[in-house]
Order: sequence, then C-alpha cells, then structure tokens
Amino acid sequence: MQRVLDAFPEILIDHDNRFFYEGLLNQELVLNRCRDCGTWHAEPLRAICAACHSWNISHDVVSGSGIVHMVTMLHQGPPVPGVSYDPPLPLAVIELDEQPGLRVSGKLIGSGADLTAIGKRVRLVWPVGQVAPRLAFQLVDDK
Amino acid sequence: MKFSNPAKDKVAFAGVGRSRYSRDLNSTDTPGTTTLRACVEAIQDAGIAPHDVDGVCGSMVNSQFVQESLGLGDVSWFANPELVFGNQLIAAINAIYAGAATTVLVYHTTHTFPFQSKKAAADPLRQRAAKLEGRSSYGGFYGTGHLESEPFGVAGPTPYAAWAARYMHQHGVGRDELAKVVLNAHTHGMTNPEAAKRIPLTLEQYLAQKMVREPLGIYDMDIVVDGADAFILTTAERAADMRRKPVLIHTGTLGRAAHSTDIGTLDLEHTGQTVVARRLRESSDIDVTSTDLLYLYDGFSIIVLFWLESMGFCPRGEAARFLNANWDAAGNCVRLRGRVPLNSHGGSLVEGATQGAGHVREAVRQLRGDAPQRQVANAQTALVMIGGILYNSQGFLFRTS
Repeated sequence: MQRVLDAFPEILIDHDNRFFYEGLLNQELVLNRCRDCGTWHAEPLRAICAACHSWNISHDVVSGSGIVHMVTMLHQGPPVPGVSYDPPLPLAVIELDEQPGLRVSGKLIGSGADLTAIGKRVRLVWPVGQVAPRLAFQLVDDK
Repeated sequence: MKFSNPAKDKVAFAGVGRSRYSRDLNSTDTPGTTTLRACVEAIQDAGIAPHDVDGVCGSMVNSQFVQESLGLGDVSWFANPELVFGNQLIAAINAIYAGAATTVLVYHTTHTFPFQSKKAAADPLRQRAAKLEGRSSYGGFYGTGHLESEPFGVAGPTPYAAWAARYMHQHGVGRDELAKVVLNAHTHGMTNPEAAKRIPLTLEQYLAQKMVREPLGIYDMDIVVDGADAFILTTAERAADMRRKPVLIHTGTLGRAAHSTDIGTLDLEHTGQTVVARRLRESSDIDVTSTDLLYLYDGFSIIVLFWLESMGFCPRGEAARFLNANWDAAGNCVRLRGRVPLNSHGGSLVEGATQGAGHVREAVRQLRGDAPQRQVANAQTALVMIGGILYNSQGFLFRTS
C-alpha cells in the first residue's frame, strides 16, 4: 500500500481504486470485473457491478488493445514533472476490445498520433522515463 | 411515460442582480463579496425588503453566510446544490411550487482558481485557498469518481476537446465552421457593456488562434472571471404585484443519461442533452425551436453545436451548416429565421464564464424589455439551455405571460 501512496502522491487513493494504481506499478492495466455476470467496469471504479448488483468483483488485467475513440492534443497544461507539451501531447480515449463502451484514457504515441488517429487500432505500452507508470497506447498497423 | 409539469408558469423571476465581472484580479472582492453585491442588487431590483426572503439557494458560497451577511430574516428553505447553474433554479422552482418557501434568493458565484489562470496563480491568497480547500486541476478534482484529468486522463476540461475532435472527424466539420459560434459571441459582446471581453474578432484571427486542447483553442473556451449573479424567484401570483414585469418559468428540467461520465458517455444520441430535449418538448406548450430568444451554453464553443442538434434545430452533424445558413453577414452574427439572435449578451465566451447564470440573466432582462443597446423588440419567449453533453445538462423555457 505504501508503495502506491508514494508513487502517486496527487491521487486520492482508496480501497476502490488502489488496484488500478497498483496495476500501473506492475505495468498492468487492471480493471474491475464482475465474477458473476462477467461485466467489466472502468471509470468510476466501484465495489459493485452496475449490471447485476453483485458485490463479487475481481480486479483483472485487460489486454490493453483497442480502438482510438477520441483524441485531444494538449498544447499546454498543468506543470507536471516528466510531462512536456512541446510538441503537443496527444491524449486519447481508447475503447478496449474486452467490451463495447469499456474505455480508458492515456497518452497516444507513435507515427500519426494526432486527431486523425480516431478509429485506429492501438496496443498498451509502457514508455520508459515516466516519473510513475501511466497508461500509454501505441498506434499499430492493423493491415 | 410523459413528463408532467405541474409547476408550469407557476413560478416567476421578480428581480435580477449582478456584481461586476472582473478579470484583472486586483479587486479585493472575495467570492463572498461578489455574491453579496449581486444579491443586494436583486433584492433592490425586486423592490422587496430583506425580510421578505424566506428561502436561500446558491452555488459555491454557503447559503448561511448569505443569510447572515445580508440580515435576512428566518428562512424555511435553503440549499447549495452542485453546479451548473440550472440546478439552483430547479431547486428553487420546486421549493416555491411545493410551498417550502415563497420568495427565494438564488445566486451563483464564479471565482478564478490558481490553476485556471497565471494571474490567479500569482495571488498568494488564492494559492492558499486552493491548497486548504484541496483544489487542483487533476487528481480527484471531480470528486469520488477517480477520474484523472490532464495531462494523464480525459476528465474535467479535456473531454469537450476530445468529443469535439470525434464529432468533427465523423461529420467533416472544419474549424472554419466552428468559428461562427465564436464570431457571433464577439459581435454581441461588443453591445454588452458588462461583458468582460469587448473586442472584435475576425475569422483570420480565429483561425490563427493559439491552440490549447486541440481542436479547441483559446477563443473556443469561455473566459474565467470573478463575479456573481443573483435572482429573486417567487410565485407567479406574487410576482404580478411586484415592481418588475414578471418573467414566468414555463418549464425547466435537468437531464442525465444512463451513462454520463466524461469518456463513458455512449454517443451524442445518448447524452444529458437528449434527455433534456425530450423532457422540454413534452412539457412545453411552445415549440422549443421557435422561441423569440435563444441562449445556448457556450463554456466551449462546440457545445453550441451539440445543443442545436440535440434540441432538433437541425440533424446531427449539421449544426455548423445550420449556423452558416442562418448567418447575417452584415451583422456578423447568427439570426435564426433572419430574426432571432443567439446569446445576445455574448455568452460565456466573452461576457464571462458563469456556468449558465449569465444566459439566464440575459434572457430575463430581454423578456422584461430591460436590455439596453441590444434589446430584441417584443420578445415574449426564450429557450435557455445550460451545461454540456455529459453530466450537467439542463434547460428552460421562459415567457412573459
């Protein structure tokens, strides 16, 4: 627990979201999944399944592969160690392969990482040099 | 099931007030002080005594502070609903209709936080307030949902840029087309002496603007101000005997879709806006697309296009073309059916970011015939849509009788 508190000092870590952040430290994308009906949940992370009201929730690793749902290019932003806005930082929302509507956001990288990337395929990557691991998605050639 | 609206035309605006909207941040007015300035003006405008107020309802400034500071008497109802501003109005309408209070002081305050501007960041008092209140631009700012904002996540201010990018990509809308919303705002801001920004803007300047969250630039974002608006709401019956010409609340609603998070919202056909649109249409005696006045929330320019489509002015993806077709080239502004202005005060883009309070105030003043320099002749109905597409969509129809 202390490890995740130290790594993400700006985040309100609690018992509902710590699995996600612990996952980041292990270079894994961990989301909530209902053990009873199998439904995945991302934001907001919570202790219940919205589909069947089961409290039997597991914290499972997803593949991190999916489609770029939308993108914005940050030309400026809050000053954060290890983050540069020059060149503009592409921040994307990814619809994951596991389930329609299951989306997460993170940095978009690779050739063509701009507003035209909407609809393109990505995979989860872990760039080196981050202050703490965060989600990043690399555009892949899906020919 | 059809949306019932028993409060139809039963509650009215009887007074309006506002503080100055300040951008220079040199003012010593605290959020409390701007709120009190607006509230005093609203009470005076309505021609009532402080003790006539028996309900208080506002946004960030605590209702107890307002009651105590203004020497109001005993109150039987009070609330501090969350933003944006339609929440405060709906709460007050419901309270008055239900008999919880008869005369309610409703206010909204806006205050620039250190993470919103460089000037604000240089103010040691704002720095301290932000620190002690735990406000920051990312990490939990939006409550318990664990939504991270920029630069790591799409939440808070970033989703509108992302949804704009997807919309523009899907429908082939260019930034030159989005420009119409912003040019219209600047044209009207010039006629509003109380607007925080009163400068003309050309298409060339718009296209050359500094990008912030591409595809949205600095002119696509509302401008943060320090300031407050206040209103007196009471029963239509009482308002008829009061000093000002009453403005009736014909209908109003909040709306939130089943999935409403920044990134989890299904698509533009399943948003708070589409919920609001359906409820307003069902509860209004007036065709929502044919009012004399039109106010569409413009916290980001793109939201105006989303509202036009959600309300049925034009099909999805066609709003920019719709604005072009209704463009008054000589006046450099939108004129629906050659007549109806859009955001006649300049909107949040130029008057100041008031989370909808400015749109409401302008609609009320226009309907009272009290909007010098920009009065729309014989305006009797107004459509006022507040909030964006996600979790804070709201809408109202006001009329004179």
